[in-house]
Amino acid sequence: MATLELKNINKPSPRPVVPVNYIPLTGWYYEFFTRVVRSGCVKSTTLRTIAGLDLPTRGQVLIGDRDVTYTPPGDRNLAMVFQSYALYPHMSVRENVAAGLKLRRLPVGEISDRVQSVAVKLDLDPLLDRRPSELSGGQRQRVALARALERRPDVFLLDEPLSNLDALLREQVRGELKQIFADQKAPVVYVTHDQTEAMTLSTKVAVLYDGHLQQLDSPERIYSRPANRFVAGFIGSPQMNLLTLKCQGNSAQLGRVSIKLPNGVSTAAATVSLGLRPEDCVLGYPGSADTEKAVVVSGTVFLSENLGPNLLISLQLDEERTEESVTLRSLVPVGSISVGDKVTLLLPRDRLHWFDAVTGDRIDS
Amino acid sequence: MTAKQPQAESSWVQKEWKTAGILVAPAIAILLLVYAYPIGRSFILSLFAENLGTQLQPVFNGLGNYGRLFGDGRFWQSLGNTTVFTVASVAIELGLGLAIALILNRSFRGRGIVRTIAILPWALPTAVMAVGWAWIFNDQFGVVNDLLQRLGIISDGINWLGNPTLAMVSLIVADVWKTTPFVSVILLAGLQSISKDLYEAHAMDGASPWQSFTAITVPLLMPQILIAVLFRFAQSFGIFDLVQVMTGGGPAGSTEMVSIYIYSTVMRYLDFGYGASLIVVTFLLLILAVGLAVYGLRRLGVDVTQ
Amino acid sequence: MPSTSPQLDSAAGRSPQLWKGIIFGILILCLVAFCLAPVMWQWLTSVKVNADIETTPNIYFPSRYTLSHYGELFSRRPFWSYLGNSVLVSVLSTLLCLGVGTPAAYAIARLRLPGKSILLGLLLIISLFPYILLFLGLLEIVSAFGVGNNYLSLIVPYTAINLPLTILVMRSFFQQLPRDLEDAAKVDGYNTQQILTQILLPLTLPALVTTGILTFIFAWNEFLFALTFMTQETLKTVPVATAQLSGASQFETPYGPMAAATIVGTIPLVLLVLLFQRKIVQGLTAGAVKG
Repeated sequence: MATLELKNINKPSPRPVVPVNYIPLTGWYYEFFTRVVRSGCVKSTTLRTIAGLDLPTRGQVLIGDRDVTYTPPGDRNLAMVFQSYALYPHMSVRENVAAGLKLRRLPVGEISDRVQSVAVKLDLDPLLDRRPSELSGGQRQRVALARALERRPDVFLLDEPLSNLDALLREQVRGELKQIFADQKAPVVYVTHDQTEAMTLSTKVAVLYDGHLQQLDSPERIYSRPANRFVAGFIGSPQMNLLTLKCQGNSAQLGRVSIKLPNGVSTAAATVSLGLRPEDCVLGYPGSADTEKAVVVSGTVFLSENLGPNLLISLQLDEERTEESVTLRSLVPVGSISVGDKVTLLLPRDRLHWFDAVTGDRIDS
Repeated sequence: MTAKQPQAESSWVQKEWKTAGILVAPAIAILLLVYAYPIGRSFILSLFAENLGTQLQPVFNGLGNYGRLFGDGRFWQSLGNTTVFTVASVAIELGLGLAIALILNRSFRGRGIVRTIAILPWALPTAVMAVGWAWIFNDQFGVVNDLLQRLGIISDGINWLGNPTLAMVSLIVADVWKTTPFVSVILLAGLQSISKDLYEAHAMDGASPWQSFTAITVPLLMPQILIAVLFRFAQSFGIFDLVQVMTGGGPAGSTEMVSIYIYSTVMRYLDFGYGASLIVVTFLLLILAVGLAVYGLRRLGVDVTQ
Repeated sequence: MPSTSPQLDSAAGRSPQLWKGIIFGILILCLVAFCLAPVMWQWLTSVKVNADIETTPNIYFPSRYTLSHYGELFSRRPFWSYLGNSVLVSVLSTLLCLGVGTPAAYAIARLRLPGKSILLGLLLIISLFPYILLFLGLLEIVSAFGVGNNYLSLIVPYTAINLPLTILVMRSFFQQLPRDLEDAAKVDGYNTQQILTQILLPLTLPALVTTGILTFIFAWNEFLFALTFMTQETLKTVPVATAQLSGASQFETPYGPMAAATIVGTIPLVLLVLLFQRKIVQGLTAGAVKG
């Protein structure tokens, strides 16, 4: 299997407002590599740099052990699925799928074999003689996919391939994509804004923000050990509670409770950020839990939102001094709580995420 | 490796430049041959006397041709004629073109066919229709005289093309007929790009149609108006075929335009050097006017090169 | 009460509405008459017998019709040659113009090219130049190459005068094409030339038709160069030949044949307008109005 490597890639953003972006990815090998990005330009630039449609101002793109940084896109042996699908409107589905193979002068027999097998795999064989304009959005998406697959490239590049599908279809195709690419012996770089796509499809996720790599890790670790406050707040729904707490010695103050900071944390700072996922906060009652394992807090519910399977409640923690009110959101079973109730929450100590209040970096090891 | 990279990148860019250059080169070559050379050549030739007096051999004459030009009453008259023709025809075409564009912008049955008819005059050959217009303004059998007599406005046929003022009027009428469609096509495109919501919002505020026209239509249409005027001004300023065929510049030079004067200086009097200086002056006047217009468009926020 | 008020409104509103409609209809009739009457008058003259033409008051509904004026054009004069010359020169210069202008338009729309904005500005400015500015220099070139009374002396200038429009219109079409399409083609392995011929050319066919119609019209209608560079009778184009008909007869002005010639000279363009009105408008606005 080929590998893809980006070394110290630096590409100035096309928009002058955004500062120069560094995407320092070194020596990584990705099986299914998803980049989750907040907004537009950077992710496409990275993908276009890998494809050879844009040039980096410095750094290298390696496929296997080939340096392809300055190789024309057609000679890199990679395939790309575009957000708009970019099907050739004047060619039939069959011609679209076969175009790349024809250019590579493959024998006619092999081309038709490959087109046929890909078409069968993607349920496209009844559509082979239609024009793209005669297809539905979902069908076009599959043609774009087929065009990439039959090339058998060294690297697949997918630029938000599902974003033009409606929500229902997106979920279905997402599952199909996972199965299709599980068979492919090539790295896949998949750009998306959708964290669900990133988490479900990837073996590794790169979270990019403002042109900078925030974290490169498995989906599990991105979720369970976010590298900084941005990743913590970006991945996961409903959003993680992110609280700024005052420090006293080596403990931080949450409402009436004092929580011991993890070992090895500098206590010089006046404040610290605490992250806690709503789904990790458990309903309880005073004295119901081992305070060694969980922090016990109480407060008053002022908002409750029904999400279907469960209820998202927002509560105001009981305070010594009312001007420093802290709100916490928690997922609880439907019907258990209503607005105005006083509740007690158990916050498991091993689910607390600590971040530097200034840099936002994770500080527990 | 690091030393090699910028080189590799610049060769990538250079390759694209080279491709672009190859694609553009034939067009540039033809434009150089047909535009740059003749105009450059006119600048050079304008410094020489090359006419029957010099046996058509170029003799360096410095700025002599330009000196002659300043004292040449015929040139100034042709410039005056051209100005009158240009100002009158462009002004009428703009007003009429706007009216037609407003009519064609409304929806009515048969709009497609009316639009087709409305651009027809623009597509017809000017020289050919000039023959037609000369026939329409014919002093003996012309339909204009006939209609005016039937309406009782005149009793005897008028010699339209034989009277200095009326010949100019006839030319302007023919030019208005021929080129108003161009103006209305440009303005109609502008009208269609104005959102209907604006008019509805303005009407909700209690504006009358006339107020909407002056407060919304005219300001938003300004870029198209200026572009149409710019194109029409340049075409009108260089008008040749219509005048050459209808009046030949007559009677007594009363409709002689700059282009007609240049043409006869070169083709009839074979005065190449002086003809070149006339071309240079016309060129500079045009550039000046276009420069001012483009500057005006820029200030309105229309970048004509975008 | 609320149920009756719409009725009252419509009753009160009907007659102003009706008058508006009538006035609007009259305006449209005036517009149609304004555009068509001069051509109709030529047609009427061209089918009248000489006695009916040269009489006052004018005859609007002749009792006799004749095609003899048309017959005279083609039998006593080489009108077929004029038409052939016009078609040949217009078609060849249109093809040359599209062939040269389209690649240039693509390069300007999509590729990195130093001095691109200067080039665009120049194109726009020279599209405003009257042909009289060029004719002296061109006359020298024509005589230096000895191509007077040669189709080349018209084909090359006609190509050039249509290039600015062609490049500007085609450029705006290329800019409207999704860029992803070319990127996909690059990733598939097409080179620039293949992208142009195999991907973009089929897609720009409608745009080429639009532009081609405009360049054909401009070439067909050109007068000054045709008058200057083609002096041999059988090489003249339709506009020049029509304009010179009156001088061909010494004794009397041949009104009938002249009117017939105007009709023959305009028919190809009338057909073009009838068939491609939409495309002509589209091309004119794309060429003249930017942004």
